Amino acid sequence: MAKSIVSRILDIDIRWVNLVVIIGLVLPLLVPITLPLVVNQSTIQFKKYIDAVPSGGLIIWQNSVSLSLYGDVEAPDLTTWKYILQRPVKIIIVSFSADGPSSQKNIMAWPGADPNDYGKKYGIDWVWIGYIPGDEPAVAAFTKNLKVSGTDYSGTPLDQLDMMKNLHDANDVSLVIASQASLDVASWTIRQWYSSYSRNIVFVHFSSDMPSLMPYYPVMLKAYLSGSGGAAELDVLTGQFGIGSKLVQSVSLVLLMSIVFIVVTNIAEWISHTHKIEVKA
Amino acid sequence: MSLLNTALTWLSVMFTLMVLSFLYKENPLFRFAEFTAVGAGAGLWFVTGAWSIYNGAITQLGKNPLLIVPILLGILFFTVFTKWPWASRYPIALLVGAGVGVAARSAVEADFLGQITSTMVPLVKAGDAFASLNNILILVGTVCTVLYFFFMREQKGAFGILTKVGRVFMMVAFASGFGSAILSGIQLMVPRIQFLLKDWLHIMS
Repeated sequence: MAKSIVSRILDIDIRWVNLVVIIGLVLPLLVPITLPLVVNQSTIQFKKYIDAVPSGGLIIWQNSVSLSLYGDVEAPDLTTWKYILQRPVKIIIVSFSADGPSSQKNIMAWPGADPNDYGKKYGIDWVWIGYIPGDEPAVAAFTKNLKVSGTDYSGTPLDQLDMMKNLHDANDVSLVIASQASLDVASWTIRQWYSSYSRNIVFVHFSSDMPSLMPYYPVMLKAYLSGSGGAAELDVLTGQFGIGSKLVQSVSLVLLMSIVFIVVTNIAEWISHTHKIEVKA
Repeated sequence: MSLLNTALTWLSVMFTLMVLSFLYKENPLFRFAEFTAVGAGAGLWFVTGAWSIYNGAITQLGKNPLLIVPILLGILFFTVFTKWPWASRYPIALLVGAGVGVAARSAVEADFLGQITSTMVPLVKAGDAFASLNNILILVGTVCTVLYFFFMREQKGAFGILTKVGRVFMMVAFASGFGSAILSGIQLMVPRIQFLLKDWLHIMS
């Protein structure tokens, strides 16, 4: 009997597991369930750093998210973007990956994510520089001269924009919010903004990479948000009910299912070894 | 919804379903979607790069004639397809040199000193037992893991126990990375499912 159960578990067609995962993803989106959500210390710090930017202070919104991994970063990106638009701050949007501007366009296409909706005027409250090619040397050049690209995303000379007239280098920046899905861009950001200018940096980052970034936290990387969980936590803190809050239930349910799969199959594997049960695959 | 939006939604749905069909088995539709994504990505990079050169250099030549230098260096890359491929080494040398120089300037601080500073935490935090435990784990984990890579002594006796502890911490770190990879996969999938339910089937509010 036990042998039969163990061999059945280990011989199961992976497509059944895929089907169960899909059902686990779909169900909470159709029938809202409420799984508990704990707000991380890092998310609290993340909000505190944004709130600490003084009125009229400058935030660098460094959106270098690759479109192929956009799904993971979209929710925290959108929640953060909407939150900083509510703050009385000035924003420069810049990208150091070629598809960063496309990710930014997607974010700004969401309802309630257009700076105009918050009374922010282009050239006075916010400027979109677009993509600056050149990888880490480009980040270094930008920290040294915020007008290094010469023109904004639509080709307007930066000297003609009121907001840029009194901005020179990294010393004029209050906070860097770097959104990316690559460890390379993350390390360029830390090396150039923190090591060279000791600027406060917070990340919206691809969740798979977060363990690799932990050595930078909390000295160089002050706080971070990752995935829909991070977005949902910021939603809780800011009193919004955004995309993160909707998606996190699906993610939590499937993670619970994954844990069950991993534990059950490992126990079955262990029993099959100790009892020398033969399995097909 | 405009006709264009409807067409784009259906196109997006088609490609999403083609990719998801891999969950059943590998098939030509999945491969078509995969190759299309790679091609579209390469196209996007090319257009964005070309636009950056046009916007940031060519249109600015009148104001700053010195921009001709990086433009010419960029053109030298294409000599790799000619009888003078050696000429492409000059811009490559410049890029590598500048890249390494810029990174090296800050790498000691960010990747070495800063990370050591991150481990210098108070071991006992009054009134916060969990934070104290965390800080002790950071210290023990860092020291034992570094000792594991200390090859001047055989890993046995008391030293061997410490390196084994280091190995356990590394295993936990690998598990954390694996767990995060599962999490990312799910997080990439959820918005696609949401798109299908909301924008295509209209069964989600």
